[in-house]
Amino acid sequence: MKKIWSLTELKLNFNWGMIAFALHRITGVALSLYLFLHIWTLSAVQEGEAAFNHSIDKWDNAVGHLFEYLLLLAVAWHLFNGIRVTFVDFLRFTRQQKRLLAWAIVLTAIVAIVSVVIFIPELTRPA
Amino acid sequence: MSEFRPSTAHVFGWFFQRISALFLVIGMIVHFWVLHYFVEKPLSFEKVAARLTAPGWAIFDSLLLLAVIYHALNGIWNILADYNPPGVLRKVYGWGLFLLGTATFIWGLITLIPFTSPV
Repeated sequence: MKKIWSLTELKLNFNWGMIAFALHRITGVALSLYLFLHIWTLSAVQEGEAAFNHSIDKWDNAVGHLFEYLLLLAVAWHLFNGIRVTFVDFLRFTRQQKRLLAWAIVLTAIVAIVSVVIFIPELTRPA
Repeated sequence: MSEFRPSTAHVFGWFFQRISALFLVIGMIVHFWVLHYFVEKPLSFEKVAARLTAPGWAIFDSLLLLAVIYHALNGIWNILADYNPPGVLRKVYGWGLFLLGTATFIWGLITLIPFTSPV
């Protein structure tokens, strides 16, 4: 438990796959934490309709939608890199893992760029 | 390595992490598409309830809840296991995550119910 972030490992064996692994972990932990925040926010519905609307309205501003965009990026990366890991595990794509990594990066980038167009009107909404 | 016990439990964890992942690939795309792109913002109780009164959507959301809680907490377990905790801590982590997951699933289902039968 001495090296919590295993930074030495990242440095000793530095390559694109290691960055992919680190990002998969970081997004995984972040999304897990978000899951609890998400359910907690929505659980306001247990106190009625108005309480629910009030609870989610707090996120309907520029900061909230920026957070939503970052959430989408985290999901996209975890999803595409996760497909890569599953392909390697289930379909013996071990030798093609670098090409799959390139695909994961390209697909995440496409989602990131396309979504900017959708999120710009939200981001410019006054807080 | 003296503490190592061969067990099928680890294979189940690995296998179901991928099975839940495959469901989540479809589930998260649908979830994000419906609630972040398709729906007209701002979101409201009426808009969510309009969808969830359909039993199919209620079942879909319940399965998504189950899959995401399992996938998230089993993922945390995998990270903790990488640090090779001693036997006692393994049990504390394991049971802690299991109880947290069960409680969160029940809490999530209770949260879903009001949308499925709006007054």
